[in-house]
Amino acid sequence: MICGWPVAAYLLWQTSVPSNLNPPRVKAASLVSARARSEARSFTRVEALLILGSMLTLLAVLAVYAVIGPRFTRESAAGPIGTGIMLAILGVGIVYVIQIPWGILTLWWERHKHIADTSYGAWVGLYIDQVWFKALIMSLAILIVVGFARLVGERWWLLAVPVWVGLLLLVTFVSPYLLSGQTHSLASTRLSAAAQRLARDEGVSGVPVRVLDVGGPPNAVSLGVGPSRRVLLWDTLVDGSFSDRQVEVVIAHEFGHHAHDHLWKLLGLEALFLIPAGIVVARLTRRRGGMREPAAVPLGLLVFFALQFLAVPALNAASRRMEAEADWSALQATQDPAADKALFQRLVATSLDDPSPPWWDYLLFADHPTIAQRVAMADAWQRRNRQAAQATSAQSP
Amino acid sequence: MNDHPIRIHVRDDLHRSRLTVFFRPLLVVPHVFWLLLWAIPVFILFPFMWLTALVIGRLPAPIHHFYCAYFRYAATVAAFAFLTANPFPGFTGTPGRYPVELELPPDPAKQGRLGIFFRGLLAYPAAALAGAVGGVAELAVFGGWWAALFTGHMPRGLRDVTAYYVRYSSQVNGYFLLLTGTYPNSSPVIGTLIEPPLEPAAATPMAPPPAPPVVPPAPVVPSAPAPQFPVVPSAPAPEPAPAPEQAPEAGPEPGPEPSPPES
Repeated sequence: MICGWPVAAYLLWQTSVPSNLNPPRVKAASLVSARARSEARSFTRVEALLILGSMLTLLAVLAVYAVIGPRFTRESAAGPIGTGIMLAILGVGIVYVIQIPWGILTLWWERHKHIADTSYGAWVGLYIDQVWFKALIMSLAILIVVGFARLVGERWWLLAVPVWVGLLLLVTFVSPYLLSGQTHSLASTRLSAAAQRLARDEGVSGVPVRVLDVGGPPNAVSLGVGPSRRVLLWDTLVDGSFSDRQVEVVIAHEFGHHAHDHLWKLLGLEALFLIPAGIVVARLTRRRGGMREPAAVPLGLLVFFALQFLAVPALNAASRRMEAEADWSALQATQDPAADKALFQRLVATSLDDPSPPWWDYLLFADHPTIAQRVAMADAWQRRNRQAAQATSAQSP
Repeated sequence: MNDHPIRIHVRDDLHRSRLTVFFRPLLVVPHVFWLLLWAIPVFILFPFMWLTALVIGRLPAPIHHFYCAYFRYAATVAAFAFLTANPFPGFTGTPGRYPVELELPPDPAKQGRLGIFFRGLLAYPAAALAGAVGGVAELAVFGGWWAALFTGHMPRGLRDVTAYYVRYSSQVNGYFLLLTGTYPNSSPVIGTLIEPPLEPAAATPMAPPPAPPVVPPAPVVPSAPAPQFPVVPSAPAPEPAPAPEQAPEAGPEPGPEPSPPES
């Protein structure tokens, strides 16, 4: 385990983006107007502060709950696992209630900047659905953790982590099928044909591209593993706001995730995080009797979420690497750096992405390369291919 | 006289934890999920068991016990969801651990084959009434939720309304699923046994479980001033105020369609 973890981390860190790319330094001022940049900057600053406030509130609430939570064991007639589930759900409920003001403020800010058009009522409905779903997930997590802790003691994480990752794999596989009723095919035959060509070029033939009518800022996502692989495009991406060439870049980017098995890598990263997290949780909950005792659940929740918060910079760095690899894959497939750059510049206006955020924002919230970095990659690709073309023509008679 | 084989024992002290009351809709989520999973084999098996019961005149014993375990658990979940009881229930429905428990016939009873054949139709009026009672129970839960949040206690009358619903809907479902051939009893009193509260040690997971799985009902002693609907006998009061016990109601009347499964 001690040797395997760094080896696994090293393997997951590998990328097909050339290490000698040397992308040029791109100044944000050259990408968008000063006004657009100022808009994006003010939006992301406030958004980042709201998210940070929400995360710190979550930790503070969990810290209080870690102290007072165990006294609620007397409100349970269930066994240890059932009582642990009750305490975990209470923790989830308290956290979600306390975070409502942050959520409403964030929604207000996004509506104020015309990034989101979700109504407050719809937001409340979605929020409640999220809470119920989280309660179910938390119940399952506690069943696994406390169950294995009562079976095998302090090394419960040795069994719990593979089981949890297995469940995540199952969800990853099944989720595209659950959404299939809400999606439809691309309306544009030209885009459909381009998608098939790109899939063939990237070695992911047969992966369908579907459109999801969700509204909001334009986005796209890769889902599924194996036969369930899909690419989903938001309807706001294909409503004419972006050119076909730009949409092709997005499709090629998402195909890049599948081509490089990023969803499998994400599961691997999850396991890499969960193993040390499990060890730390097991250790720090010892004085409450360990995770076999339901009274340790509130403390276990605090430790786990604190570790998750501390791991955010590393997880974001890994995510940025995978996104950069998908960007590179898209450039290789589309051979169209101009569309690539135009797409990212357009995203500054439509999503108010700050092209060059400050270091703390980058560390905590940037799970994608910055706009400036993505444009720089396109420039580097262009330069590399120009050099290759020149070298080829120099060698030919 | 308590002549229905499906009865509910209420050993609740009316105390409610404000935090668990507030998050009650969230706390029932894993139970509802588990109940739905458990309901799948129950209802898949039912058509085959109906045919079997037509032949042998009763449910097979293993199926009867399986259904009883399901009903026992479903009743504790309903009691928790409807604020009839306070503690978070276990996931197995083990008897003797929860303040509100269903008493079920220990063995499958012989039933008339004609009654078995027309069971769905016969259960319909009872199911319709259960639906109406459910609506009243939901109002009681709404009022009880607010009362418990402010006072830390569930008002007795509201608790008894929800207990009645849990009992009656269990009888309807039990009748439909062939646990018993006795028609559901719509009396709010008969079949609802209010008993002294469980000892705290017996209701916590850390203490050893009590030896008798089902506590025999205490003598029914109604309190002196007749309370509002339903008339519920309280625990033995310091001043004895004997009153004639209610006579059991008449037997069932036939009708159509099956009841919805208990949530």
